[in-house]
Amino acid sequence: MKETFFRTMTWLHTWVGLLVCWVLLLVFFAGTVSYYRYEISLWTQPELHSEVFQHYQENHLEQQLAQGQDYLELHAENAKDWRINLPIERKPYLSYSWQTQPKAGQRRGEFIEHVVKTNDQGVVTETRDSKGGNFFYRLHFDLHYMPAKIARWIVGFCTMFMLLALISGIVIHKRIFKDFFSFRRNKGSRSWLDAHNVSSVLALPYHLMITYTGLITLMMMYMPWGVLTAYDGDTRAFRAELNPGREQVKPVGISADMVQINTLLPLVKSYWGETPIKQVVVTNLNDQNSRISFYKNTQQAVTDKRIPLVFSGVTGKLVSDIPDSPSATHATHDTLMSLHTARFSEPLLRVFFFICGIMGCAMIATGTLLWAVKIRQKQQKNIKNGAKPSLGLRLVEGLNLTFIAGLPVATCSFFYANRLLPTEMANRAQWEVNCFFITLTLVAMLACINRTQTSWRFVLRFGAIGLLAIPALNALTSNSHLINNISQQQWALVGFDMMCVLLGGALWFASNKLANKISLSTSSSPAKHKANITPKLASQITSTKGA
Amino acid sequence: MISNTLIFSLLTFSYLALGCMALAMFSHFRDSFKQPPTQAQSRGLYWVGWSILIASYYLGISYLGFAYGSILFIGILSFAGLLVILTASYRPRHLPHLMAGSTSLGVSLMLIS
Repeated sequence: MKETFFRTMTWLHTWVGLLVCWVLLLVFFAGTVSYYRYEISLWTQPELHSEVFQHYQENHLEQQLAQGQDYLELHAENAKDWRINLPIERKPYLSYSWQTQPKAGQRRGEFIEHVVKTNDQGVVTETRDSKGGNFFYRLHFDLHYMPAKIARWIVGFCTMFMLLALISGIVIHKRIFKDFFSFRRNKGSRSWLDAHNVSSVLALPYHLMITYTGLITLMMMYMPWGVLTAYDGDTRAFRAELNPGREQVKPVGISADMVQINTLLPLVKSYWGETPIKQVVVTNLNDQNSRISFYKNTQQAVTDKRIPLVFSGVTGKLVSDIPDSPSATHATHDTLMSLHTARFSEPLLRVFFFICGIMGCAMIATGTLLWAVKIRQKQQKNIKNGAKPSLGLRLVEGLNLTFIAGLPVATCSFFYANRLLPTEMANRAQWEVNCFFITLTLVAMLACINRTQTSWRFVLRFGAIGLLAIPALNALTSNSHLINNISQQQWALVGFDMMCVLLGGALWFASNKLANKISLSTSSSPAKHKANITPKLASQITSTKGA
Repeated sequence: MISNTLIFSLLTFSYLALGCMALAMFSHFRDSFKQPPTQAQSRGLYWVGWSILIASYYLGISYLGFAYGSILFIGILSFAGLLVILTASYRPRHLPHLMAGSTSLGVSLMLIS
């Protein structure tokens, strides 16, 4: 009984993992990158790299809000809404933005953002058209080139498989504690197994958390029936209760003069004290039913709630309720959501989240590489006798090359496209994204022709050189470079360049390792090199194969 | 406000704690010291590791709050564990030295902050 149970679990782990691992890798990779969504967006808009950076200044608030309101009245009179975005740690600039009236048949209008220069030097109105970090954020759950709803179902399906793979993985890993610190290098598939175990076990709390909370973020879409029953099909009422203060009021069509936003500040302070304000949103402009909502900067609080203070734009009276302390269910949901998005993390915690995300990518990559290595060993004899590797093996090896080595290169090409495509190009933002996928396709085409280590080394080297040259690209195509970003303490931009160099270095290191391996295997027999495994592992492999 | 020096000290203490736990294992101890551990050494290292781990977790949550402290601590543990594994596999002889070094760094960071 026990033996069959472990065999079943091993089978489950292998196949649920293998079936969806490349989509998962894409999702995990994009998710990890989007921990730095705002930093990437900032980097992809070099127009904002100088003259706009400022900190939140309590004593300038009144003046900033007044200037914002004047500016928006002048430039966005007929807009659908106005937003005044105050500087926060991750978006260190003041901006005024608005949404134009949606065209017939569209739900949303166009978003326009003007960034204020410091020292009263005017505003930056023209930034290049780019999705920036939002591309990776959306890719993480909406994928691309397909309706968001279908994509979310695909991602949810894969996430469920991942959760299964994680749990079955824990069950079959009999030596979790005994092998906790073990990584045996240069031992063929044993090393891949160790790397898989290390990356899974070390960040296991993270993997479980991120997979589970990932399902939670879209749970209302996957399982809507609870809400439909409890609220009698009225999902709007549910959302209003979930996010108090966020429900939209319709304009009544009677025009009315609006109050000055900054006159509401004392009232806001009486509720929130010195808590910094993040954003002020005005809707239904110059209408009897206009609303002014203040959002606070929740800083390090583990919450994802954006509960605004909403005032009537005409009378200046508070119209939203101050919410009571949330119910246990509500608080649990909020905590799970905020754990997934990690919006509360300050820079160092963000680094740890990023490292855990990378370990997740490593877990998926090593898992599928391990499968390919083992199956190749199994077919070694036939291949030696001139038979072709099986279709499954060729497919897995090809997809591995495409996604594991291809994703960093594709990401890199996105950044190059961002800087090198002409700024006036039509559909520019979409072309940056196209460059990402074209690169991925090119690697896939290479993988169709040649999946040997030479291809791996070529793609890895290509990515390494691209990433290592990112600081040079930044220096040549923007008005600031690494050195003066350091001297001006623009840590988001410095961090971006340094991270690229670091990852580029890692890819270079990996490609060099492969180069050594290739020279080794040409001098000795490749079969011998790969079959360098302990008898114990061999027995383990046989048991896996039997399953 | 979150103190970065505190986070670095917690990282060094976690490295020490997980290093102790690694050395409590037969093979890692032998790789680092070229001799097998006695049972008392093994057990001692194991419990010292756990005590340091619990103490630094307590330190973390008392300064950073239960929620933030716990989340951060799990992140720190994953990274510290990775560092211990890399040291134990690539430079096993230096593991004890690096543990001592990281402890003194952590203590001095705590003292200056």
